[in-house]
Amino acid sequence: MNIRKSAPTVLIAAVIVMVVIVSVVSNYISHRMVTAFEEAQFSMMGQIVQSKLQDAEKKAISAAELVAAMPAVKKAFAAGKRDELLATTLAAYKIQHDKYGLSQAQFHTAPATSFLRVHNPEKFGDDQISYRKIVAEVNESNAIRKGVEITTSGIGIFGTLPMTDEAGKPTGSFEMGLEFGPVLDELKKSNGFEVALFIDEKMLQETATALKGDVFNSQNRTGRFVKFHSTHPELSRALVLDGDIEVRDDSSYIREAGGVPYGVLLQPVYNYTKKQIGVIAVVRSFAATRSADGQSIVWQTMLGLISIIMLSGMVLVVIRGMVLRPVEALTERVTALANGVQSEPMPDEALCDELKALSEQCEALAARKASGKAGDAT
Amino acid sequence: MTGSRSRAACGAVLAKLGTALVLFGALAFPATAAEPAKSREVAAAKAAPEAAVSAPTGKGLPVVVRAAVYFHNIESFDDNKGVFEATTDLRLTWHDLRLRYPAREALHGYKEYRVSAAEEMMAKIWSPRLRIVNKASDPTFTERRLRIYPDGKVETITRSTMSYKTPIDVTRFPFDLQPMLVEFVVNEDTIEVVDLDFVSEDVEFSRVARNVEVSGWTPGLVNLKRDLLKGWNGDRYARMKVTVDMQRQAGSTIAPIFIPLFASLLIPFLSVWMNKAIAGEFEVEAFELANVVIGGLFAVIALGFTISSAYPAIVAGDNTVTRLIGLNYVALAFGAVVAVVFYRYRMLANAFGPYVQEQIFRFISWSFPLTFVLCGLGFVAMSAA
Repeated sequence: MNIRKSAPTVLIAAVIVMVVIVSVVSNYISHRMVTAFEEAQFSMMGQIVQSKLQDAEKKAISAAELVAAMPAVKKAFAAGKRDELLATTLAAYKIQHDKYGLSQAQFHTAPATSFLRVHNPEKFGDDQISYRKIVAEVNESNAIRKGVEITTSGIGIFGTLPMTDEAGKPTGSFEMGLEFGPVLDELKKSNGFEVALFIDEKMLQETATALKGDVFNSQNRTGRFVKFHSTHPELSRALVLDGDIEVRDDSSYIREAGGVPYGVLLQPVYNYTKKQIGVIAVVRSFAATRSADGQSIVWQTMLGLISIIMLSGMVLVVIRGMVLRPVEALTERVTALANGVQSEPMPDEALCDELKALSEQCEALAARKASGKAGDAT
Repeated sequence: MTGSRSRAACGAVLAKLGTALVLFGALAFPATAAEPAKSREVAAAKAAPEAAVSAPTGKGLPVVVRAAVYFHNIESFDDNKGVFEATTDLRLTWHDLRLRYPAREALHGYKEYRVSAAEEMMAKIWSPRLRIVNKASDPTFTERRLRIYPDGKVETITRSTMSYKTPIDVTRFPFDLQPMLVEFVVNEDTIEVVDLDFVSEDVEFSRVARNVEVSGWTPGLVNLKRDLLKGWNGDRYARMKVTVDMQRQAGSTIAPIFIPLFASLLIPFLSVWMNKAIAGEFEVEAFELANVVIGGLFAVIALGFTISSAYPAIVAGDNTVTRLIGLNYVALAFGAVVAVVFYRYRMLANAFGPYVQEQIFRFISWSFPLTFVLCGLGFVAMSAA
């Protein structure tokens, strides 16, 4: 066995293994901490989006209740006087539209026939039972309902309530709705998220017949969905790809665009009947956490490597410098003595105390041998 | 008599010249978003009744002004001075119901006024008074277009070429992303009167023209951000920050900055590589190798000067370059310590014996360069992380 090679090899290997284990565990822990923080961010993003959509539903229903409670409205609707109903509600609708972003107000008669679109009075009388389930259910159950639905003009967030005449007899329903776009724009302003809404192209084409063609183009198409609205179209195009969009549950990932890492949360969007109609993508820059994670890995790797170098150096210096090299020198001296070659004794500072004692005994043996030879000679 | 006539003529000429200058000023720099709106207000007060230039309250207050910026061209971007010059289209949109008119009057769906006609019209209507907060110089070119829609929607696009100051953060140099900032604030009117806003349509408008090329940089996405500027007594003013993400082309910095920095790191290594230890004795004298270290010190000082004069922004803070310069000095200091401790005074040999010194010297002959090169690469990797 060659101690000169095997001893440092064993010790250095042990050092490397230990430092690598410590570095990997340490990297894993810090990476887990960053990932946990990012997961919390995704969770918060999802909660904020859901809360905003619920607020929009509440906003729609509260505005609808305010209008529906007006006696003049009840009376005109019960009497079937469309012009009078329009004259009574138009001013209120315009204020709601201009100041609070409500874009639709519509009266229906049972089961779901449009009586008056306050936002588009020229169009009425169409049966919406096939795609306005929320209206059909309100007229059937005489209870307030709210939710998301695809309409002829796109997709909206609706609050729908039953209407009664002064005697309390059901006369139909009234609803107010918000467009998705302004809600998402508001989300961006208040929280700094970029948001995109993707809707199932087939469903949208079937129902939203009044929708302009610019939505259905190749640039907006992602898988079987089309981008209906986006607060940053260029960014969402780079971050949400065909393979990502097919989600049935909340899904998140991190992707880089323009040199910046972004956290992308995809949430399925359901209509009132709980059928998935699309996906909402919420995007936020994760540059700070990703950078911290990357820097932590670099720092820990660097410290690990430097530790290996330093500890290996100590092993080499102690084993070779303090033990093996002096032993080699001592061996040379003893060999010389055994061969009867006279040479200079070893300098004291070259040896440790233990080897110094051995060296002194060797020198004494050599001296005795030399004096014995001298005695024989005389 | 002649003198007084010539003085009078002179006065008349000066008066005309003054008037001409005022008119030129009003036409050439007509109340752009970047300019204080004083001249425009004066013109408006003369040209239109008071009511016409007061804030449009038809849709209630605050008047919401939507803003968007298109970067038509980026003439230059000097990250050392934190200045860039760009030709931008600033689009502002708001509603003034007093300007509604029958749709049949609009041939293309709107009434359009260009350049001088736009200025003439702008003087008669209300428009938001915006101030470019970070402008570095007055615009060298300004042109405006105005569109008024039948429903009272007003849209102005101001094309101007101007220099802007922008904050530079080189912590992650050379893998940094610098925001090229255009920041404007509503002048005089508080947030209760005029607010700045944007919708997705404005985000879509706000981008860098596809053919724009900036040497050493890659223009990225344009970001819009609303903000508030605090005034006196709780006043707040609407502010908007428009930034273009400019990604530095890291490859272009390798030759002028990183190769010299890593090359100079080799100098102190020579103080170890050029010597040889045999049982505690060294072949080369201490002063010869100390000279190498001193030479290296001058080289690093010179390199530091060169970098600080060519890239003053980089040496101002903590980043890869300053860390590498620091690493060079530390390596030189270590080289000097080796020369003194090992070669001149043989301190380790005296303390622990010649064999320990010999082994330590053997160890530092490979660990010294390896550790410092590793640190250098680590600093670069850290900025890329």
